[in-house]
Amino acid sequence: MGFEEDVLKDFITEAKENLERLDEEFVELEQHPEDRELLSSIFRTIHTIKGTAGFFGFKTLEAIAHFAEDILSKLRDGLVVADEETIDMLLKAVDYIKAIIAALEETGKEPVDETYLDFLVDLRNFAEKVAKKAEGGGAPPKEKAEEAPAQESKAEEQKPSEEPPSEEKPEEAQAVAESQKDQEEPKAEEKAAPSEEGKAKAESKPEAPKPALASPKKKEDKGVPHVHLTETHVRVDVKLLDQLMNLAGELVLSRNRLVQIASRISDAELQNATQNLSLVTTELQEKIMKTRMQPIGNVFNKFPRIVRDLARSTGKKVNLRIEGADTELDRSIIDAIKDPLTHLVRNSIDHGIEEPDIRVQMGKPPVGTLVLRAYHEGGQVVIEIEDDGRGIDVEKVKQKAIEKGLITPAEAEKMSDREALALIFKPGFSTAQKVTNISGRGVGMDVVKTNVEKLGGSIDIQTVLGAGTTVRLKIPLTLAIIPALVVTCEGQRYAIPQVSLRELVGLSPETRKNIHQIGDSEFFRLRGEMVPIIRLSKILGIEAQPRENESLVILNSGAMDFGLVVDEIWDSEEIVVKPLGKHFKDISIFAGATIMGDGKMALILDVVGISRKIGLKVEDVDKAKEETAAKTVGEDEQQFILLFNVSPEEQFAIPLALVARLDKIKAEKLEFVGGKEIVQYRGRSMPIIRLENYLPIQPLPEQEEYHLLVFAEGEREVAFLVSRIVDSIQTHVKLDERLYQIEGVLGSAIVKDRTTLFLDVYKIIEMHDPYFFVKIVPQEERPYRVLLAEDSPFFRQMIANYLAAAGYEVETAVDGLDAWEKLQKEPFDVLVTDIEMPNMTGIELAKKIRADERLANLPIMALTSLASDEDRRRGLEAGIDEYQVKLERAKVLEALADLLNRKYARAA
Amino acid sequence: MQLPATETEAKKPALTEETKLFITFWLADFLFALPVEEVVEINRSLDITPVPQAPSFVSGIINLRGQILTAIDLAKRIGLKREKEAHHNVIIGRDEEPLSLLVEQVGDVVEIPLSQIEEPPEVIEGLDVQFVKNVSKLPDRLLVILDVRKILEN
Repeated sequence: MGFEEDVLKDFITEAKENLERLDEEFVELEQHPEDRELLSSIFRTIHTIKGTAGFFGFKTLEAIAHFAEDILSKLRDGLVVADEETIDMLLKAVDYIKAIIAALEETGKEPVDETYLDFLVDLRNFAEKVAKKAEGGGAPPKEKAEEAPAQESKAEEQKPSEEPPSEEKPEEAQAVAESQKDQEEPKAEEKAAPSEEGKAKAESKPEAPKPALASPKKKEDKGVPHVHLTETHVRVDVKLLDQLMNLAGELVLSRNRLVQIASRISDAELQNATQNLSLVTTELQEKIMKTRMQPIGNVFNKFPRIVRDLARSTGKKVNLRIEGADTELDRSIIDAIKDPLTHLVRNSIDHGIEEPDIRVQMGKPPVGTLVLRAYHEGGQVVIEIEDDGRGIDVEKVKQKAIEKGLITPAEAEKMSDREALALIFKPGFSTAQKVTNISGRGVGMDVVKTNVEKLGGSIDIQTVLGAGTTVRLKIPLTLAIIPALVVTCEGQRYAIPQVSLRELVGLSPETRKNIHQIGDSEFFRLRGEMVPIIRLSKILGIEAQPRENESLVILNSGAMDFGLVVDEIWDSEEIVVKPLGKHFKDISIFAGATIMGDGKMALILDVVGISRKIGLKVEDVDKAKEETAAKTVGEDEQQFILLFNVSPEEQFAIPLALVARLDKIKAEKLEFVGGKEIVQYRGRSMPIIRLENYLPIQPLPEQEEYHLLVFAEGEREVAFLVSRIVDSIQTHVKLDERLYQIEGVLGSAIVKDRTTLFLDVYKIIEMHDPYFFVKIVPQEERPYRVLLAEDSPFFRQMIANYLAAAGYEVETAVDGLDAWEKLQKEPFDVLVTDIEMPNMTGIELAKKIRADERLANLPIMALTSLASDEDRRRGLEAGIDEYQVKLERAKVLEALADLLNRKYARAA
Repeated sequence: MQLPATETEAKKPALTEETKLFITFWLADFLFALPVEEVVEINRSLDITPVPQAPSFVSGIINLRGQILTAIDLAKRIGLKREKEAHHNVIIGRDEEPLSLLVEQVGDVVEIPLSQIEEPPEVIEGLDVQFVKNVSKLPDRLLVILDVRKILEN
């Protein structure tokens, strides 16, 4: 009994391993349907299962294996070619075999269920069909098939015959099915098999290829165990390994403690002994850790089948490539990443890779590529899931997040792409337009993220719309023992996992100068980069004494760097991570606790949790970076802007230079006459522009008194009506044009901690009154073509707009080089250029033009923020015809018209 | 001192009546009790490492032979005002996550007849009754038997 139980256990273990391999092999077979070696390998596996099943008398299992083997033998002998249908059938057979094996493992008996028998009949019919097909294509002679039963008794000595008979399969199946229904036979006879089913076994024997011989042999010599335990490998219970691991952890702690004591006592002999112990302990720990290491291939190997099935059910074509399958990871981690990986792969196929026809339309190969890649990087394992599908549409993500109420539209507008992508990880988010049976069931990426972070890992998405998505997981090699930096805060020690550590900075009065206060947050300027910093005591919520000397630990939370101010930095130590009790589960700033060398405890800081707790946003960091930039650029790039509100929530800006006057009026002064809102101003009626009538913004609230921003054009005046003037400041404007593509808005930038819309005053006035500006362009039969070279998007848009409003046809270039290239391609009547530009300055550009034969006569007008005499001289030397200040629109237009008149009148 | 787990059904042959064994301890003038089978062991003062941001009734964590346990300030947990420092650890939680309850002084193990174990009164001055499972009137004072489940609840 004991022996049989052992053999059964071995059989199940082996069968499970083999079945895993089968999945892969079948998928491979689909791609190389004629691969003999592959077919033989599959055949052998199935055959072994069949043989052993027969030995134990598992009839259903035996029969399924038998018919599968039947089909396979035809494939192997090249009588039929493996098509999708056949492989589907075979895979189904493998699934049923798996289910039976699972049941065997649990109950030790085959499951009694109609579905198995139904499938058996299907499989039998299919096998028959295949056999017929094979016959048509030159099957072996029929006599041979009928001969087989007769040879039954001599089966043992018989040489392998190529073909099991196909004729009697139906009866056999029937027989098996019937016997199954009628009685439960726990085991077949050990010796000869007198029954019908016995025949199957007998037949199977002759054709058994060598590796499978083990099972039939067993029938003869009972004493030989089924699975040969080779001398090099032993199966060990995982629990035992886990215990070993824990013990090793304890040993490391004792060692640490001993080393500390030894260093205190300073006895040479003790020192030697502890050093030796230390070495052995380290090695032991490493080796034990190694026993738990498994190649990630153990997980990856499941994916060919999953990918195949998914691709089939979604009607897509996917080619899976696996890289770095031999990368090793702790087995507990391997187990833990299985589900997240499956989810990500499903997502890639379901949402990422397009249907073949769509792919072709987009100029991609019809078969999508999915890459599963693993590699080591800096003590961590990186796993990438890369697809060449449609990528993630950030706007759609935002839209969805708004629909689900995760964010407000206002928040969405402010969000960077990276922040928007992070929305995918929010609970309750799913990008699938429809809920499919594969993904999009609500439990989604948030669970994936939580699971990965639980492992001390991080997850990151990179996507290019239309070109594909790469999800990158960074996972620690092992969970139990990690190197960590020990720091202190108010007398307590805390451990920071080394993987998150970037660098250490001592805070002296000198280095403290690099700390900058921006809004409520502090930033540290580290080699020109602004890194947000936070005090550990503040995170912990404990009263901190002011200290002379502190240290700054620069950490990386996966998404960003930040600095943690601690009292002291102790040492780097290997620590054993111990979980904290359930009372601490809501505290996200700790990853666990550890026992230090002196027996005292230290809490392990959760770097990701801390970064989240302090609410660091990429936007804040960008802002800090911007402010550093503002301090480093030259004065000439700065300009005065006027900040104002219409409704209190939204901040707007315009260049102060454009405003003729600022004034206040009482609400009762406003009149509505002839469909126009006007105000009595300096004895005249001045039209009023309410911005909300032209821009999609919050309306002006009712107030007793309003502010007027008055703009003048010659004798004419117009005013914006606003609620409040916030400030006028000198700053460098780094305009983002992409976020707001609205007529009348040049772009947005963050000014004084707020997102601020920069308005195009000329455009808005023109929207209000198309005839407000006098067109002073010398009108010929066609408009003059102007090439405008200007690197600042803010000025480029504004100038282009006022030139266009004046009747010119405007083409823009982002710098001198771009302008030069455009000049080569198309004819222009005049060049209007900035002086200070990257790649090629206005001066260089002018020189180049003057040196070029075809362009030598092109009129050139330079625009600059401030025009000094020196500038003018240099410009004229380079061949620039006119020099004007950017914001003086009227003068610019006048001078331009004048220049064109001069040049072309002369030419004519 | 390590307590064996099996002495729960202890009966005195001289008595026909069924009894139950309790471990008693002192906290702010109250004599509390827990059934012996709930208690894993009792430890004299162990170093407590505070855990910032933890619930107020959690004193911190202790190192019990390499295992890290949560130490509960029992007085705070059950709404008592305690004057003295509570240094002794009553470790509970045989089948689940073990916890240490901090008490001022450990008393005797007492054996109480089931008939003398009563439902708690509606109000016990200075104490949150929801944590009280039963009471028993001893000759000189009231023995308050605590409800371990309630204490373990989050």
